[in-house]
Amino acid sequence: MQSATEILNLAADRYGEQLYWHIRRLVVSHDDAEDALQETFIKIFTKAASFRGEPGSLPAWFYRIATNEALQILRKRVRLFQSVDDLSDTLSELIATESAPDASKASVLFQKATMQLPTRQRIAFNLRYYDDLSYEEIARITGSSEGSLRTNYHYAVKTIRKYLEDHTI
Amino acid sequence: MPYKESPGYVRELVGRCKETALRTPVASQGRRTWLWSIAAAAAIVVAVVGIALSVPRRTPIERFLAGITDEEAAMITCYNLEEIPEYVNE
Repeated sequence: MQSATEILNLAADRYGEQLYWHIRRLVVSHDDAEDALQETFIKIFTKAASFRGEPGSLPAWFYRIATNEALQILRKRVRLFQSVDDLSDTLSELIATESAPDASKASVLFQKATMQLPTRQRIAFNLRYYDDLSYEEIARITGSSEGSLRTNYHYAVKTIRKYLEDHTI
Repeated sequence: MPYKESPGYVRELVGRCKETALRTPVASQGRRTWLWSIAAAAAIVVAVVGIALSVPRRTPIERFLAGITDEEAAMITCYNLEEIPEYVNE
C-alpha cells in the first residue's frame, strides 16, 4: 500500500498541471483555481489512508476531489436561490479579464462557449475534450453512467457549435 | 487556453501547493488528537459532577430567605417558625 506522501507525489508530479487546468476551466479565476488546487492536495494527503480502490483508480480519485473542490468554489459565488448553472454570464465575463493580452479571439470565444453548458455537461465535456479521458474514466470521476455521459457530450458539442456560429463574424 | 499563466508558472504553483499539503497533519495524528479530546471531555464531566455533588444543597426555605432583604424577612411572622405542627383531626 502506498503512503500518503507517495500518493500526493503521484498526484502533484504526474497529474498536478492537469488537475490545475481542469479546475481552472471550471472556475476561470486563477486565484480560485490555486485555492481549489491547494485544497485538493491537502484532501489527497489527509485522506490517502482511507482510499480503498486499486492503485489504477487513483487518477480518477484525484480528479473527483479536484472537481468537488472546484464546485465548492463555484457554490460560494452563487446568491440565494441561484444555482451553479446560473453563473455562466459571470464566468464568461471573467474569461476576458483572466485572458492574456495576446490570447487568440478563437480560444477566448471557445472558452465562453463552454460556459454556456450546464455544469455537469461542462465537466464531462472538459474531461473528454481537454483531458482525453475515456467515458469509463469520466464515469468513475463523476458517478454518472457512460450512457448519460455520451449524451451529455453530444449535447455539449451541439451547444458549443451553435454558440460559435452565432458569435463568429 | 487563453489564460495568462505560463506552463512554467503552473508547474511552480503545483510544487508550492504540494509542499504546503505535505506539512498538513495526517489522519493518524488526527486519531491521537481525537483520543485526547475524548479524555479531556471525560475529565471535565467528572470535575463538574464532583463540584455539583460537593456543593451543600439548601432547603427551599433557605433559598427563599437568601433571596429577600433583612427588612422583608423581619415582616414575615413565620420567619421564627421552626417546625410546622402536624394537623390533628379533632
